Amino acid sequence: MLEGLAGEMVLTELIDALGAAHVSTRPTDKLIYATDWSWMPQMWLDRAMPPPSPDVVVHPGSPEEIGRVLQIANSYKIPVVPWGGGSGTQGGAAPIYGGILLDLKRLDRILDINTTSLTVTAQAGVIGAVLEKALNEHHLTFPHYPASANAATVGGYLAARGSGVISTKYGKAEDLVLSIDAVLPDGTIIRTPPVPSHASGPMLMNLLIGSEGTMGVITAATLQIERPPETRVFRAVLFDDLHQALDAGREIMLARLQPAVLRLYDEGSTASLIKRVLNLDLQGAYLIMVFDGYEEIAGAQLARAMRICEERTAKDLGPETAEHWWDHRYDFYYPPHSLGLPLMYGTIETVCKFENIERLYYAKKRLIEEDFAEWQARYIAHFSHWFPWGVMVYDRFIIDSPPEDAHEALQLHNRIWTATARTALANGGMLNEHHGIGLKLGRLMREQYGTAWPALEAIKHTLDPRGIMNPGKLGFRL
Amino acid sequence: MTARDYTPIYNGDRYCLMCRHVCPVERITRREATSPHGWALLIASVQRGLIAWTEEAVDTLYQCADCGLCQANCATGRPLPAAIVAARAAVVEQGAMPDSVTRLEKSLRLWGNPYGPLTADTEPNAGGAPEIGLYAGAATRVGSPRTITAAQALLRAAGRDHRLLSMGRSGVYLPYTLGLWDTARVLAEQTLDEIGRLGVREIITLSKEDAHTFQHIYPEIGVTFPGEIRVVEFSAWLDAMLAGQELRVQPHPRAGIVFHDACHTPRLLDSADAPRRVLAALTGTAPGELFWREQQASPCGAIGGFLFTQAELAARLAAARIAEAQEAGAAMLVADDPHCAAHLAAHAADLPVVNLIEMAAQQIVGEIQ
Repeated sequence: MLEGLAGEMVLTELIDALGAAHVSTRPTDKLIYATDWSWMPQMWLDRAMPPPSPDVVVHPGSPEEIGRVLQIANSYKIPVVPWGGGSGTQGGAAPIYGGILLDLKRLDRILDINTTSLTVTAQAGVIGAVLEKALNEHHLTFPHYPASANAATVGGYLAARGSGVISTKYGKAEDLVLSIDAVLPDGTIIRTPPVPSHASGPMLMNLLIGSEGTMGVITAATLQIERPPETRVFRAVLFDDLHQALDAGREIMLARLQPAVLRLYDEGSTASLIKRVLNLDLQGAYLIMVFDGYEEIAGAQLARAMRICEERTAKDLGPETAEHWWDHRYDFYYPPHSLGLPLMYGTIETVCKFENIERLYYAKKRLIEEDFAEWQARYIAHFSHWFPWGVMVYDRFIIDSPPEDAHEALQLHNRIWTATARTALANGGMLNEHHGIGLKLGRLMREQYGTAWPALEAIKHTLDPRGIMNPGKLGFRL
Repeated sequence: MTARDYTPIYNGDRYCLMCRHVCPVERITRREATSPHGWALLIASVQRGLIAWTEEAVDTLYQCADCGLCQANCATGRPLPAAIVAARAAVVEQGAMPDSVTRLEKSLRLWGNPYGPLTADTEPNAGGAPEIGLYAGAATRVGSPRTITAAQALLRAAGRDHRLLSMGRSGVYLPYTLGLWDTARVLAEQTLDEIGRLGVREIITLSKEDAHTFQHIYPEIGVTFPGEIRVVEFSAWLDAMLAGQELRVQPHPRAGIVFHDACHTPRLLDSADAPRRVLAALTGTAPGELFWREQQASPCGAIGGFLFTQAELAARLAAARIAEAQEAGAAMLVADDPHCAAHLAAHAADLPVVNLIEMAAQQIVGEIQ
């Protein structure tokens, strides 16, 4: 906590570096920045528990100003929590130790749109939807369409290694970046090499991509963009069971048919979510497919994919429901459709190779539905980011009537997360595929990395010897 | 509806970030506290006793521009703007409103407007009820009298019998948005009395704010607006007159015209197209566009009572629109709303700002009746 004389001196230095207009200790700012989009701090505040708040909120306007803030933080050994859009679900931006909250949204300039190489260079604080609107004015698009596009920033896309709904064809956020600008924890401003594919040493930028603000602050990125596809073709099919549906998806990927979207809802999600949001009353496993690009190629890809599905007894639902999903794909995330308090919930998604996916899915489903039966925990899942070697499962638990007591609720939430994460690890899965680790899963990083963990910790300690960068996140020791 | 009625909206929206990127105030301040979810979370936290309506918290609450963009860009149409205004009404009930609001209420109660004694109502014609009431309001009378003259000229050119309405009285929106609902009801009843005395069947408003008020705010504060009276805003009326060739204009080609959508445009369905068609008819070409436009059109600062309560934010919003216009290559910025045109002109040192209605009046072909 920044208190007394030391606190005044820090404020003096921050105001000197950024100007008084960009340094706030207002109670309203401390309150609002206490919660990101994760359930834990939201629940805490909902139960009228005083939240862990930042001591000071700063809005730097340049990498140089960020460098000054980090130097000040090092001088006084104060935590610094980078804040992009605040849309993370793992508590990655929750200021649990107070300190300086570094809101990056003033870094909001699109620096260059290059129509020769199809790249855009944007500052880290540009909101995804704003970037997309600007690109659309040039008849271009950034092929990263996460549900959080209206909220997340370019820096946040990369810091948490996000995925979007067309990642199966175009890749995750980290696959779409050529280079980054960043400020290291000691205030040094760096720029990584201009292209990512080379044989000139290790991928330096990958130390920051996925580091969730623990290794430095991403301030800008050069990203691959695209011309909008000539066409998008849609189709929805319904399988009697999930096994056939997963096998169809696997075969479509192994055949390299390049679907932009393969979105497979398990029976529970089909019966609940699809019914509630899309008003479709279906029983079975509902699969949405989208292929894009030149009309004749996309059409041929869809035709082969349909043959694969039909060989596995899929029922053709035609294009309309898939188009309807596409048009309303973000509606799931608006209130009242989105999950929210007073429910207890968690997106415990993971990724694994095809050979493990069914075993992993059923193990997690059994765990939630049986081991937490006393809380009538529900389990729903869809499979939405596919790779040539495997697939992620976007699964969630939901408890309609969680404990009233905040401490008890948090302990139950943590128990479920721990159990499901260990189940994922035991079945060849990762702790997470695209939401990140943050505060929620940090304690399990040692189990994920095993003997490799000390190497990661050593890198962190070398870059951030004072431990100022987003402490308590990603499992790094204080 | 009261703040208590809107509790589900505060609770549901306090952690929703889906519209923050269109919020004009957040884009200037970059503070989460002054964004849609920030206001919802603030109000929800006051309801939970986590924070009180201190001077700082109330000031934050009054930094919402009440532009409607969050609701217009919400997939589920959450009525957060009305919920925020209801929270202000609760703050007023507690006597915790800002001093600027207290002062404004005194003026509105005393004079019906913030400016001082103005002739209030228009008396009816001896010869019978006019067809149209041209709703001007005190703000336009004081700040944009030339627009009123231009609008009257256009109405006369189209052969429309009309009388001016509410020349000395502020619109209901101003007290409503600041939480002064009792005052808003008084002004609404006075306006309805005036309309009734004149016997008009159609009201043409010079500003989208007033069209929005008649359509949406009267019901919100529990005042019934007569359903048989048609309300249309001026640029929509002008567009219809041009389309029906009841008015004709001489196109005057100009380079570098950029159009600013009036505050509240996203709240009035299909209201973005009409002024663009009028402007195209006047200049012979489609106007240049701001980055934030039509359903995402940002206000210029002449909204939400900002001129009286948040002067600095009002100026910064104007500066942001002017910067966008310059980025779009504007040699001239055109607005169809007199409040917007006046406010933008006051902050545009090097960029001419023209009101669409005045421009149209100058280019009318034929004799003005």
